Amino acid sequence: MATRAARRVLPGFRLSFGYAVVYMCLLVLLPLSTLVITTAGMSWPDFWSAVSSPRALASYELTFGASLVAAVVNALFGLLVAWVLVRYRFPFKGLVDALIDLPFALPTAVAGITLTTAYAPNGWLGAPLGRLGIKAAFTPLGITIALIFIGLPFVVRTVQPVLQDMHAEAEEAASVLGASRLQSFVRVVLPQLLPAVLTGFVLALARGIGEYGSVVFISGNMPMRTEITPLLIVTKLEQFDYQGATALAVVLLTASFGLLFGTNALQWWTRRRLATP
Amino acid sequence: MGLEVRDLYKSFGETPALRGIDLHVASGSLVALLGPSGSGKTTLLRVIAGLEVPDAGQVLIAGEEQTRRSPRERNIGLVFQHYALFNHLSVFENVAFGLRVRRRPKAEVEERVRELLGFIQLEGYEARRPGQLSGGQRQRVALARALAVQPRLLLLDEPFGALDAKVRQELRAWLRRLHDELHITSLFVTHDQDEAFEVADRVVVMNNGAIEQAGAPEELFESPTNMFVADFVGDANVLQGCARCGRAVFGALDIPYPEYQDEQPLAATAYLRSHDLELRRTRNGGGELPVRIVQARRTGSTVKLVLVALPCLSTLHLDMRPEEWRRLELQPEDTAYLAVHRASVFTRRPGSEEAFDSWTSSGL
Repeated sequence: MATRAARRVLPGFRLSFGYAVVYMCLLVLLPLSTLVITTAGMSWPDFWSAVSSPRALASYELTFGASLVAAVVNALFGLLVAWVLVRYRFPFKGLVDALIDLPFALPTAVAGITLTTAYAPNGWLGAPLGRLGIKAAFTPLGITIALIFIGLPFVVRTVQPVLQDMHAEAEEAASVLGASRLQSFVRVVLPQLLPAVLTGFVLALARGIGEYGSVVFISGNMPMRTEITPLLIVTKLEQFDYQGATALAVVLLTASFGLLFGTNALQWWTRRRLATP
Repeated sequence: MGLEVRDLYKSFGETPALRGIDLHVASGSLVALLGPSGSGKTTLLRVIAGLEVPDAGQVLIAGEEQTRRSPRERNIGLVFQHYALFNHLSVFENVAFGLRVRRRPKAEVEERVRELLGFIQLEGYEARRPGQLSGGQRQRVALARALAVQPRLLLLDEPFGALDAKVRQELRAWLRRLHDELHITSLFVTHDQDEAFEVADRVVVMNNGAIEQAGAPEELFESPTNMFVADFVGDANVLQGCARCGRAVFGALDIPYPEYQDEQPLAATAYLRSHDLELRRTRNGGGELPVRIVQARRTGSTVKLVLVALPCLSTLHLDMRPEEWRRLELQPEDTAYLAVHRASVFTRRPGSEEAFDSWTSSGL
């Protein structure tokens, strides 16, 4: 292996490999293991009561539910946005394309404050919604809106390159072969985009579950109603309940790992399915 | 079922792609659209398939107006240059696609696809994906997919363009055999004249969005009606000279040109094909062109000669059989005489930029 690596750009397989391992340990493994070790100090019933208290359960429901809804919305509209950006030409396209990354670049707290101001009962969007009898800020709806905002780039940026590589020729071939627009989309376009859409969906979901900054302002943080799990963790830390906080963190960590594993399995499956020379 | 195209115009923005195309493809024939890249041949194919909407003109299949119909209503088979196979579907499902979207019964789909896979000699490849096939195999799958729905017309865009020389040669012969079996009216686009002449019944030469000449391969070769075709088809030697009083003079070459009887000299261009020229040691009839041999190179079964016409110094290329060359006992730097058996002469009329008069003279 060392002789093979010797011809590569980076010199010294042992050195670079060792560096990578140490780096990963310091940055990722060590903090995560302290999390597990702290939790391991708890007895099983303590752990169980910490993670299954009614307040914790309500926060899971809200966090996972809102993230799921937001990720589904992002999958649908992200696909649409990516489609428009790739397939059509319009003025200020470059600007719109750059704006997609805004949720990545914007500090989440800024996003949170902005969204809260807009959706508050007297805000630009909150006031007309209020007249329709819809309350956005300080409700699960507001949390979902914040998560949609945060998750949009994930779907757009995973679908866009696939769509760019996809030639319009395949759709033309389908239409010449007698397929209607719907048949072309369902049988030709969607199957090729689906893996990318699913990957984007999972990434948006994972981000939504861990999102804190943009949600805390708009949620109102009422226990049992609009309190997300990351916020509950912070609340427990502020009350010096470190073990309770880490127990909840382990639950989120497990969910994140599960989703990451799912994404990787999905990518592996896609590569196998679309084996190209 | 025949195809007719009437006075078709299409431009992309300011750039005209098709400028008044009239084309007739007889039922059951195999026609090649030949032209350099950018000549509008692919655009014409796409307009016929319904993938482009023409600015003006009509497309008729079997006498039926198609111009306003969408591609899916035309029932045309189209083979794309890069095949455009569905990479996420197996070979079987690719071929079956047209039948599936028409909601044909399962048994019928199964039978038709098996039959076609046998036809393209890809039995046992049903479950493969296009990514696991060679270029030639993909090409055949694309063809089977187009044929599955029993189209009224088969269109092929540079069908062999992306393949290597040997596979291309095989597929050419295969396409010709396939056409002889199926008798489906077919139109294919190519920039390769060998391909067009070898495979097609009729060749349509396109340039700059217009049809320059259409005819049987030998017709285009023997009597080109304009300079573009004379130049583009085959390898021709070009001589510049002038015409007056019913003669055209190119240096020492003086040939009859009854098209132009005036005394006022007119610029003329002559195209001479290698196989219409004969090299001689000595002057025989008197009409020969004196030449100096510059180079003689043996390439495979022919000797390629480079000659210079003596008074005017134009370069000429001539292919000969090796035994003929040996019999002449000539060396480079020797002077010899070139008998011209046939020439195509074109003159440019004063005041007109595009119109040429042509006259093909043989038996000189």
